[in-house]
Amino acid sequence: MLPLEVRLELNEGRDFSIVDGLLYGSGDAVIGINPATDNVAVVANLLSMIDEIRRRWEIPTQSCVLSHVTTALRAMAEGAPVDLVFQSVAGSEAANKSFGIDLAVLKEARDAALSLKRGTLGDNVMYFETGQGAALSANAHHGVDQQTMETRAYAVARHFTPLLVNSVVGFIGPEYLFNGKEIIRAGLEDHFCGKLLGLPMGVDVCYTNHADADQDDMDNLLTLLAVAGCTYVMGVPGADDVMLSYQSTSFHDALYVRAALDLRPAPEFEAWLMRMGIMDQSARVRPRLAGSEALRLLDFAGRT
Amino acid sequence: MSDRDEWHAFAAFTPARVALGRAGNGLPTSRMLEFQLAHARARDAVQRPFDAKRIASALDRPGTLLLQTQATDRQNYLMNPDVGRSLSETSRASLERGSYDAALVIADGLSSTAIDAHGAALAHLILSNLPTLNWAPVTIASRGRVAIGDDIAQALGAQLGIVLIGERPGLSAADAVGIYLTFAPRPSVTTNSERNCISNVRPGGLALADAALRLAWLVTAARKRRLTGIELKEDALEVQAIAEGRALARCESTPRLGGR
Repeated sequence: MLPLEVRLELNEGRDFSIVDGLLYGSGDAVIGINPATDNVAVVANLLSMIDEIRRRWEIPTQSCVLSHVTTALRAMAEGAPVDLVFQSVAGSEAANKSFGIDLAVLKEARDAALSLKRGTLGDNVMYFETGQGAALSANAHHGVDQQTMETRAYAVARHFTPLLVNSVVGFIGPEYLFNGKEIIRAGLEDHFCGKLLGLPMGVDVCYTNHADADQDDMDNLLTLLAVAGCTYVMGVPGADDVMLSYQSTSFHDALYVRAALDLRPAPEFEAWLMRMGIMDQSARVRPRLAGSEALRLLDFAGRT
Repeated sequence: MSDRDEWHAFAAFTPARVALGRAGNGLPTSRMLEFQLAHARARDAVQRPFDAKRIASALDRPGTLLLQTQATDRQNYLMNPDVGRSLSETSRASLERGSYDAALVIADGLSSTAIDAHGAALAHLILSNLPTLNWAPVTIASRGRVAIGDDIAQALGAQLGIVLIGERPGLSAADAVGIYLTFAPRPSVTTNSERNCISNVRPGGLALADAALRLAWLVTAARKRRLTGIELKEDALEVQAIAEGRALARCESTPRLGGR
């Protein structure tokens, strides 16, 4: 039985998305928060908040606040519980400079995260996001096509032995990927190239509202990627990222594709879902939580 | 099956689409129709033509200039980001170079809905929070991207470029404005890591008044340190402001620490 994991994606603020996602069986890849600012104190608070939930309910997963690598460095220096260091990376030195990074700062951050010794297994403490068009949009592509530049970004990622890498495939807009058909093609290209380089490749199956695409295109791409053995996808409440203003895949989508293709959550996470009474023994998310441990989680969330 | 989740009460506390219920593993039909309606509205915000004259009249500030970029129409603009980053020849010729502290640029970006709704009000707040600055004439650019501010600020001879721009619309909000602050902008040289951004400025997100305060605070710090971008972090500013005590008083009329 192959796994298909889900990054539970939520945004800063008083947000119940985390409970929504867990109760729908998402969150095994990572629980990842998009912060609204790069304020170190805010980022550190968010990290402590998820860490507390993760410990209290003994959830076998990891968390990440998707701030700039220099913010993570400062948060770690102040003792924040950083499981994974996040950074967007691109395929040229100039494009990475436009992100405010170079290889040296990524190494510094990886070393700092390893020194926290938070992992129980392996030494994979980095989480990278990429996307076709990033180098071109920074005019840092040196005349090279966007797929080649994207693959070069995977080489940057591979150098730092990441836990997670995903293309945010349709995020950048129609000037790079015009419509649903081009987003689908690029998603499969990215998955293929990532796998070829041996990366734990996931895809944020997504589109923006200035591209000529809709949720039906995303259903198609999600299904194609799952057939192709994609490692993980995103889970956003109702597929609507209300802060970053784009559409991705939902917790429902993950349930659909797991059921349709007989894919499962990560084994330890699946065991947790069953223990909590969220999932039944045949790996279906239960229609009612009656009598389950999950009701206590719900009760806890309602009170905080 | 379960068209209402046991945690449906959570939905009242977040704009996120939580507790949507399920029909099997899928969405209930009503939830799916709501999503499709929201998507159609967001598409409209991107495509709707921008009425720059209306903004100018709402702003009612002498000397305000209306500018065009090199984009010829909406489709051309969406498909070619570069054309939205440079002024048309006619517009460039209309700008007189001076010596200013800051240039305030209002641009439609990807949501004319957002600028229509909040552009003038936000500009008023920003200008009144920083009354001692020597402001260049306010400009309103149609079919502009963020970097249009670099072109305009340089042409006007302004040290800081401040761009108010319609953010790419989402399903839940099509009216969010982004504010970008750039010290010593240089067209096609300045990178995004050299800018500070305040995003999701709208009544249901970061309130306009709070955003204007945060900007005033960043402007003051940027002028003092002569830079913007990733080296200018808000937390560093807080620490600095608190440590120096008097920093806030010198914060060019910012009455309190801006922030969320």
